[in-house]
Amino acid sequence: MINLENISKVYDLDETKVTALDKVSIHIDRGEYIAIMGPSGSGKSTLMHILGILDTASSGVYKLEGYDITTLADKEQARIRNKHFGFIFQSFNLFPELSALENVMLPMQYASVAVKKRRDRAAFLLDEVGLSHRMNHLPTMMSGGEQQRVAIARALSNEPDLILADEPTGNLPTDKGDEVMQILEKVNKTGVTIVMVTHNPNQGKRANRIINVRDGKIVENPKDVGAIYAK
Amino acid sequence: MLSEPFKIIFRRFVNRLTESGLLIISVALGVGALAAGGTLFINVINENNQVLNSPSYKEIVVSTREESDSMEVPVKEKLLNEDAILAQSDLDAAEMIPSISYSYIMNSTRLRMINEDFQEQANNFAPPEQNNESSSENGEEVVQPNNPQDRLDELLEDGFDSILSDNSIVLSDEDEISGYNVTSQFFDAWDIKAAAGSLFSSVDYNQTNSLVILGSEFAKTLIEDDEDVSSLIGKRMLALQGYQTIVGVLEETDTSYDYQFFSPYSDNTSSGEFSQIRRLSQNTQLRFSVSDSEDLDTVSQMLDQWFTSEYGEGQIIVTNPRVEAEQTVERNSGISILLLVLALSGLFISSVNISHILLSRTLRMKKHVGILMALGATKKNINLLFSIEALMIIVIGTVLGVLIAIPINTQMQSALELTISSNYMILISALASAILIYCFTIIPIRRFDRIKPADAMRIQ
Ligand SMILES: Nc1ncnc2c1ncn2[C@@H]1O[C@H](COP(=O)(O)OP(=O)(O)OP(=O)(O)O)[C@@H](O)[C@H]1O
Ligand SMILES: [Mg+2]
Repeated sequence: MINLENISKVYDLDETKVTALDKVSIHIDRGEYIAIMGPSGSGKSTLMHILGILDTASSGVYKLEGYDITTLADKEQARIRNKHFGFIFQSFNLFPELSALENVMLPMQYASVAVKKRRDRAAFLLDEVGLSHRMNHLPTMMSGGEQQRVAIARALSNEPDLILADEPTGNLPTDKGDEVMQILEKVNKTGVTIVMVTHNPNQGKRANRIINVRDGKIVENPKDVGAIYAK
Repeated sequence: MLSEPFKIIFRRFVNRLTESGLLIISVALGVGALAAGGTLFINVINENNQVLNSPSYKEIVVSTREESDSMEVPVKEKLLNEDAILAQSDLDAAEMIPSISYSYIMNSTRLRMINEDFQEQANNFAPPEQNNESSSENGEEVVQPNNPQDRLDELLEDGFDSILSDNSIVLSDEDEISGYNVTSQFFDAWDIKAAAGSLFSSVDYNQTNSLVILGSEFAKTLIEDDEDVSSLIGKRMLALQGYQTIVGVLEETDTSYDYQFFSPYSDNTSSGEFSQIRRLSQNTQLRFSVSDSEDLDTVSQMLDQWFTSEYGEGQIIVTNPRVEAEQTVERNSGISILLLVLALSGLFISSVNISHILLSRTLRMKKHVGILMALGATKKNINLLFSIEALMIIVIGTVLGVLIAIPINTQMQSALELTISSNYMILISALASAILIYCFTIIPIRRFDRIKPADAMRIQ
């Protein structure tokens, strides 16, 4: 589904240049469940941003279903983010002004889904993540675990092909983190590709594949997850 | 139904009432200042143009001295003391001076109208005494009644009903109408034409019959809505001074003349001492108009020389009304330019202020924008969203600004004694200032284009 070829990301600061990604090449197939791991500052988030077209690479080629998307216009990129990608962040990133229901409805508005349909689907998704009783609550009135489940429902609203989750359990206690992981795994079972950054080896183990990043380079990218933990 | 992104904007707006309120007040003050200042400026310019182009400021007024001095001195006494009495023949002075285009007499007068109200009053009070003193209360000529006593008696005898049923008689609801006795060149000098009927013919000026020409608005009060003013021609208006035959209705002039009437002036219809008393009491003024206002000074001097040689030193006053008008024009322009500059600086300051507040809002909204873009918003969507926010602030502020501007404007108009006051100018200048403020909000909103969602995501 996705092919990154020699992707580099260089931040041009005044004096120095920070190479956040250094000639990274990755192939992601539809339906995969990938964990990206590596020390802090190794470039995991940068990689996620490039995968999600939230950022553009300094060099290299990004192909989505065989099409080079780096040269697409803003409108087209926005459409791909809206219809094909779902984002989940460490700090939830819900809109504090909107209720849980409205947060989930929002991406569908950009997909021009009618109000009634948006509301029905948002209610359905919130029910799926076990929050039917919290639909009209503002994020500030919800626990971290609840907020992250709203964020998952929001990421699923336009039936994405790929979910990009950057440390989705990073701000959650273990048990709440497990709940989130279970939901993501359930989503993956429906055929949605998941790429997730995590520091938690237990979570990494449950993925189909681990991509290990260090200093902006991919150091390990085994097909066999067990190989890493065997050492 | 609001879309979800707009709900974010709207709820932030409500949650931050202080900041939103400050923005709205800034807009209101900026708009209010320019709406008032701009309107005043434009109205002053229009008024100045109208004043300086008005025929009344392109003429020299010649009057006898005592008019400007004491109106209180009894007429008889004046006649004994003063020789100078201006007459129609004095208009001949114009023939000496080529730059004078028209010369005329224009004396104010009044008609006491007879209508049903009058009839009631006449019944309540002893009728014959009503009209004993029909002449010169204010030193104005009153059209001499065609034997008013008889008229009134006849009226009371026949009963008012017979008048009501007479189709050739029109009644006015007004008690009194002001107007002018004019010589023929008045209409030329003011370039006023008849919309119906005709102006006075040269014969009319020598007749004792009471003829009138009506101003357009006054004429409208005498007819039904579905009638045409031309239906008035040839009809008679019933006044205490007698029947007044309507010979014409003037076209619209947008001056007070529209509400008045005109009668032919003549001073050669009567003679002897009575005529002199009449003329003296008539406040007769001669008016000499020029086509080019540049000529006024020289014409004024020449007329002064001419009348001094005719009537002697100091008997006749020659005035140039334009001199005073020009002073007023200059004063009003000065004030309005000053206020316009102040208003523009006010608008500029508030625009910059608004732009600044919006810019700091933009920076605080960076994370929101990043998330919105991650969820599928295009740059255009983002621009539109924040433009709507800016527009909302501007619209509310502009409405308040107009509400501020209206009383200020009314105050200024009366302070500068302007007669032109168009409130729709307030709306136009308010709109102009709103557009200007909107331009200032484009800059901060454009800043959103520079936000990269990836950078926004890193904000904690
Ligand atoms: N906007 C930026 N300007 C300059 N350098 C940046 C910028 N964003 C990230 N970096 C640098 O790029 C490198 C990779 O950062 P990145 O956020 O991808 O790391 P990470 O692996 O996600 O770390 P963590 O586990 O702490 O989230 C870091 O050295 C970081 O300092
Ligand atoms: Mg990171």
